[in-house]
Amino acid sequence: MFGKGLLTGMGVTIKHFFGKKETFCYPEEKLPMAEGFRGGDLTMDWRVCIGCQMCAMACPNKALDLTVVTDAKKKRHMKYYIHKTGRCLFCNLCVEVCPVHTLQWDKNYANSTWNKEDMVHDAMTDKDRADLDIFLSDVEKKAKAEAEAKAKAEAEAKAKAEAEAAEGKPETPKAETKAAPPKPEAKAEAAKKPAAQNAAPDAEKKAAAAEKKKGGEA
Amino acid sequence: MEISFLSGLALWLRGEIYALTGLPILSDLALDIIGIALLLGIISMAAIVFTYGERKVCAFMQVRIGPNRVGGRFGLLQPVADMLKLMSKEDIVPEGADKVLWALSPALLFVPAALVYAFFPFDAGAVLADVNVGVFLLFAISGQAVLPFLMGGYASNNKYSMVGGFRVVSQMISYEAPLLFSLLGILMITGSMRLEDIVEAQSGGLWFIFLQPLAFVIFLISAVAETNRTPFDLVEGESEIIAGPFTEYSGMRWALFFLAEYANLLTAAILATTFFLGGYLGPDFLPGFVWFGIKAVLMVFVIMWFRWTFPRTRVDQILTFGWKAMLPLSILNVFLTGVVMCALGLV
Amino acid sequence: MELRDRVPESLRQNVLILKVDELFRWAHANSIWPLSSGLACCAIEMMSTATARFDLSRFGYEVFRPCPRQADLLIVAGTLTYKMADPIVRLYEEMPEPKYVIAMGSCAIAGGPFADSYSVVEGIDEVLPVDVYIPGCPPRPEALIDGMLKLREKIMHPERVAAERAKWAERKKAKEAKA
Repeated sequence: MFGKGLLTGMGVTIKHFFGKKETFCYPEEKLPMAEGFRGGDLTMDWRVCIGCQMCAMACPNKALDLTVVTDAKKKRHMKYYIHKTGRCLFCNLCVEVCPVHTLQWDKNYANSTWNKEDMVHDAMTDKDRADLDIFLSDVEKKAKAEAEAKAKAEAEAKAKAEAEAAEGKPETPKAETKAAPPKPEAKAEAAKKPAAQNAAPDAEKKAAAAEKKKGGEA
Repeated sequence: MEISFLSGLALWLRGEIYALTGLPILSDLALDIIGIALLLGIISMAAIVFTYGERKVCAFMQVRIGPNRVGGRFGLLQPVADMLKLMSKEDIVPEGADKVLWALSPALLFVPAALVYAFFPFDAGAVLADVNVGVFLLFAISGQAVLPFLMGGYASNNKYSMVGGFRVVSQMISYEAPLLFSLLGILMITGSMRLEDIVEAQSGGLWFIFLQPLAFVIFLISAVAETNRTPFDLVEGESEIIAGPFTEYSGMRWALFFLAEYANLLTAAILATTFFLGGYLGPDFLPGFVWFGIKAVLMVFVIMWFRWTFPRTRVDQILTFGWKAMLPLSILNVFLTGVVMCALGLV
Repeated sequence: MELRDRVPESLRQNVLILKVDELFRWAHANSIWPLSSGLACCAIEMMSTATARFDLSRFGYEVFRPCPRQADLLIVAGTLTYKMADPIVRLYEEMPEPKYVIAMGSCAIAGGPFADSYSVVEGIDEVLPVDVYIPGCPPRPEALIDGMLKLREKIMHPERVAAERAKWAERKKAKEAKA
């Protein structure tokens, strides 16, 4: 009463006046962010991403715009991963739902812009897309080679089967069944050889020869 | 009376100009102009320095650092940036406003705030206007500062301004009475209304703050209420009435209000030092006006300290406090002073 | 630049040559007074930026004026509903030039989580011209400080905004040409 509270208050303020200040100077010193901090831009590794698009489906505000390409082996890969930072709520649903745990926040919250168009962030850089293109072409080549090897092996096996059928007609079915197990092995060996050598023209030639033989016989 | 540094300087300058021209009227005129220029300089410096000081003091008391980027490590150019910015803002005149009254209001507020500086004794003999009814004239002039608030509030054609104007007028008028009554005790002891006599009467270490402690407290509270600072700042009670009578003022007009407020703050501090803390008196190792400056700055700091410690009081609490507590206490103080003086045979 | 080079080498540390424009731009950039116009949760972050830990007054921006006539900056912090759109446009129009607008938070940029709602304006740039966009929900106080520093940069160097916009337009054109 009679001003005692006032004087106590003044005492507190003057103590703070001479005491230590709590401020930390932002642009020069930055507070360390917690591990689970959600802010900044999304980052992902396109090699891990399986292109399931569950993140875009989970986003409550349609802030993810994905473009997915399928490679020759029918696997999906991400080509454009547009994250609209302006619409994003930073709710973390996309990160949580990702089955391969490749999405992460880069915690760089200082990303304000002058124009709204700048607020789209592509999680895949041009270099990533270039790498993706190389990977896709590699896969395509591999798939083509495998397909050709498979076709050649199939043709060889077929020719072998027909030849054996032509030879082994008088033979007993037992002999046929005996001949049957080696066939897949031979097929596998035949398939492995061209794949190892990657001799496409030879395989083509062999396939052509086999076909000719087939044509000759039939 | 000994010749202090400032009055000695003034005398020398007067002599020089007289020697140069041979006309006493010219030297008087020159000295008057120099004095006015100096006072206006002090007022502007007060506004600028105290704006910065307020923000720094405020920040330190709130456990943070204030401006520290604009102009060096201490943000010393911050008030310069503020003033320049305010100067270059668009000037908006409200459509239904009474143009003459609206435009006159900031100027009329600044005039009494600046005019009273003519009566302050900065040093022994260094007073611009040495009148023998200094106290009376001073408070008569500063009492006129109530009206421009009401003018600004009425002329703005805005309900917030109008209500703010009413509240400010009621607050300022209610605290004029305790302000003056608290000084009556000092006038009784000194026997003169001349400000320099009042300061001289405190020589020998007998400052009036020791002889009249109650009057000091009442004077300080009333002065804070007169200058519309927290805890009595209904005028700029931001969460209550936007900006009170200043709602429609932008740019340089508002800057004039701002300046007038800080000039008033310095006035209150200087009055407190002159009446209660011994003015320019002090040990000889520093000239008088330096002591004056130190004491005035200390009082400014105390008033700022009040601002950043106390919350705002309601308007009815302010008026109740003024009429029911301050005024009777100040009359009691006069009575007590009279009794003690009678008892000591000083009458 | 050209004028500055005219000053002799020995005096260059002591003489400052400015255009009046630059001087006023410096003053405007270093003393931006925001209007306390918080609408929703981002307002809490705005308030906490003015408090002791992330002190906004270090830059001189802590004077939150309640009256639009004395403020320079309208920080729209929070969701703008159709009901509030008229008052906020009125507040913006009451502010004297030069004035700036910051869109703080996801709701102010694009409607946020409520973008499909019948009552929410999808981004304040449907009604106000915006200078800086600060993403986040809500943005951290440091992000708000960074946004205000970007505004400061915009005021002091207005040519950079046009350059950035041109860069984005070019990028967009290149992408459309490729696709």
